[in-house]
Amino acid sequence: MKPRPKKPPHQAAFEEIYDRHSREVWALVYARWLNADIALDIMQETFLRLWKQWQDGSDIVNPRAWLLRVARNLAEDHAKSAFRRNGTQPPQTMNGVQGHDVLPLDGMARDETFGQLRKELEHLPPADREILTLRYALDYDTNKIADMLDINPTAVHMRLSRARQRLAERLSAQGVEVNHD
Amino acid sequence: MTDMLKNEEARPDMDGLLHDYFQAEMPRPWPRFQAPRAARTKHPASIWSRYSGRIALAACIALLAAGYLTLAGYFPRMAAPTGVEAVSPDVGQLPKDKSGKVNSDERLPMPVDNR
Repeated sequence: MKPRPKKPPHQAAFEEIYDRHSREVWALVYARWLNADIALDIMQETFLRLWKQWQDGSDIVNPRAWLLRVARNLAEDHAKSAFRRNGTQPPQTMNGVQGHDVLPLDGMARDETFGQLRKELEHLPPADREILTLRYALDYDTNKIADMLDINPTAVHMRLSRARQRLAERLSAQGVEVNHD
Repeated sequence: MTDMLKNEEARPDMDGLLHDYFQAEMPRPWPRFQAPRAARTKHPASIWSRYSGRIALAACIALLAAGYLTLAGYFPRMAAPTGVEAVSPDVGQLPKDKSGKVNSDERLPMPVDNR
């Protein structure tokens, strides 16, 4: 059997950083846009820029902080370009959510609920959306979220609870009954 | 009371709903990082390929100048016509004596008023 070509050491180190932080970068951008594809594009662009920095020999002391900062900037740049394309009207996002092996009828009901949930998430402050994304997409606990966003764990807990309550109330008003906590 | 409890149990809880929603939004499988292909390293260009255009231009100009000078040797330059016919250089000048001085005696007398 032919041995696989060994990766150069800097590429292996880079892939380790990618594995460790790519989900966080994705979550940060997703919280801004509530669009998985845009978040994926921006996440990949962010890592491509880091790769180029590495290739140029730049010394980045804290890659995580660098990545999160660049991702935030790219997400904001995307907002500006989206404004240019769409004027004051936000682009219409599809209510459909990527499915993962769900039966058609169940999937339709689920997509409808998810669509309503997404609509209500858009009304939340971006900071609350960040916390929700980190909590439920990445399964981060309160302390880890607080550490990442550099805020108090109590504040994270309160904002999580408040966001859940607000979402439950809004969904109830839409006819989707959910229990809060 | 039991109806209320049953109703509560039938409702999805917010925690689970949010978890399902965000998990469904996460890309699966998570994409692997693919390093972009290294850009092809450019070979240093030779002096000829770098300056060939300029050298060709300089050669053309030199050829034009040489041709012009060669042709100028075969066909000498003639004075361009001025439009004025060549006349004697003495026209309008007073007569001179042998030594080259102007003969003032030959001057015309000034008109005299005889009234």
